Amino acid sequence: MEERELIERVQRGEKDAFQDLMTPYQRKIYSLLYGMVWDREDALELTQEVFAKAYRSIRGFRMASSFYTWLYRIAVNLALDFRRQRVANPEIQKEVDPPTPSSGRPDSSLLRKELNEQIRMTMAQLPPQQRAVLLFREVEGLTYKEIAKVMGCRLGTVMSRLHYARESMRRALAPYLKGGGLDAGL
Amino acid sequence: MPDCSRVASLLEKYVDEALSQDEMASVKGHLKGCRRCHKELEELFAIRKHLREAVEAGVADVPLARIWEGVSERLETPTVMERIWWWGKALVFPVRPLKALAWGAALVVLFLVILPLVTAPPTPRVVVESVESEHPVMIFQGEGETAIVWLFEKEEGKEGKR
Repeated sequence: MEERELIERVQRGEKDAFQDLMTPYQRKIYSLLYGMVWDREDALELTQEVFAKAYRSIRGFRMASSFYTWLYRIAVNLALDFRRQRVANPEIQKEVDPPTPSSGRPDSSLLRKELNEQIRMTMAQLPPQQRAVLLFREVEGLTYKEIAKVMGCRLGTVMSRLHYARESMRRALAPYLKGGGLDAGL
Repeated sequence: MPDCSRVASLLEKYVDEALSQDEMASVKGHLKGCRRCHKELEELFAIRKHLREAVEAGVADVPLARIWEGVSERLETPTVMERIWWWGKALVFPVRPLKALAWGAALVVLFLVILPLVTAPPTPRVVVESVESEHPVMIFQGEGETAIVWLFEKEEGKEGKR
């Protein structure tokens, strides 16, 4: 069944059709939210919230934009709200020790784990808007134009946020980039 | 052939496939002979690759079934706005119009009974216009045009009393 037809059925109040509609996007939305909050349980809760909110407001969806753009917009807004709540309640922030680059030649799985942790730490320190843009481009593969639409900002803003986010990543991962790039060590 | 600073500014667009065909060809040409720019390009691709892998590692065993369970559970619980909407709808379009009408009439009657009690005029203010020494007079003046006049007779050796 086509997506448009599913959307129309959900707009008529068919809840079962919504499950079919959301199935292809579950993993993508979860993946985006995981990258935003970097915690599985929080990402799961937020994903559920995104789809519940999408269901409740789908009557307002006019097919003028693509469904996934609309869904991403809900997801990124909820993730930003979540971030604001966390900043307002710092006691519920989960603390994790920063990783230190291994000396010598540890096995690749250990280095991979360490690198993932470094990426997680760097992402957590990025301004949330930069983090969202970086994820949309690097993980979800959205174009500048699509990102601008989802984030409700200009193309230039997307490019500058992406540039600053990449610079931060490059600086943070510098110890791992020594010796001809990351692949040399992994 | 563009210089390194020019290419460096285009490298991000290069990895994002956002360059024109001419710019793309120009950057490719420069990269063939420039080790430094090539290394920068490799780093950009490496950051993308490892960011994807880091996210993938976190979502590899995502419990997809739990997502729908949670969504379904949330949809069963009405939001505050939904509750307000339902109450508003029930008031405008009641399921049992006669019962709603009876309740409405009862509320109107109750309102009409309570209203005069709440807005009852205050007790008339007593104003003593004058008390004469020979023929003491006391006038009680109400809010309206009504007035009550009291006359006192003076007794020997005492103050005037009624």
